[in-house]
Amino acid sequence: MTMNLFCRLLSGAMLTILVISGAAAHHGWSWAEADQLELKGVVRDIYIGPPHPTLDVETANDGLWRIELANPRQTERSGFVQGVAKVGDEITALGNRSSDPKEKRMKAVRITVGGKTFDIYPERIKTN
Amino acid sequence: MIDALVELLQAFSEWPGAVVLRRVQLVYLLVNAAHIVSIGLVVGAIVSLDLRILGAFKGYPISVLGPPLSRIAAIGVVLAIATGLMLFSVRPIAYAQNTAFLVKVGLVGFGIINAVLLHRSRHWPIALSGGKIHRGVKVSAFLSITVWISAIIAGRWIGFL
Repeated sequence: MTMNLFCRLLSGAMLTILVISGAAAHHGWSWAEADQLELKGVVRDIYIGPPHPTLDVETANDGLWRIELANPRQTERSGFVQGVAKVGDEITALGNRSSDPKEKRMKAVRITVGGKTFDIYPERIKTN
Repeated sequence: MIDALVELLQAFSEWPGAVVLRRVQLVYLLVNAAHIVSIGLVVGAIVSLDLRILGAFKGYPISVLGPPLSRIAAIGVVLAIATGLMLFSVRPIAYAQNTAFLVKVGLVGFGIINAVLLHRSRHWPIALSGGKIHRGVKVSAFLSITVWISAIIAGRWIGFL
């Protein structure tokens, strides 16, 4: 009887893990909107490195946004490396925002800072 | 108080190991893999022992399974904490503000206390020598499975906040 309960408990936990890992966070694009938008603001925090590079950008009238970049290696390949941007810099991020309208989070495909453009996901940049 | 904590975390993020982990991706990857291996040791060993306590594999005595499985799990916990601290040092302030991370640390603490209490309980030597498995020992085993798996779920959740 007890064994049965534990088997159920274990399989329940495993199912939960599967469901959670299926819904990728900053990985993939399924959590983001298909349309791209441009966000302008001031860098409040910058992190380049594993597990995932991010930027916190203060916008003029929409508060603080979290900008997700690509994985560390791919972000580096775009030229966006340590020292390229610093806290206080004006920055423009083009990317796909979270499909949750309450969540101020964007996955960037292109970053512009100090007159330089960094194409994080060149193949995803939509030119209109 | 909070300022002192932030300062401490900031200092931790500047130790040479953290700098290497941020700069050299291979090192981060290897420490990350070592963390997963450590977690595998903990859960693999302890869930096996917990299931035995709860009535599975009755043909294999707890006196034989208990000591090696407990020891492997304990080694796994020590290694997981060591590698976990290294991964934490990459972005300590960000992790300290991550709810999933805090929940995970709490669960790991609870799991360790649960294990220590079981080993100190007078019912444990009886169970180890093949005697009656007291209800408290079974409750502890059930908590152990639940807590360690929950800790993994919370840990996996860190990257999703």
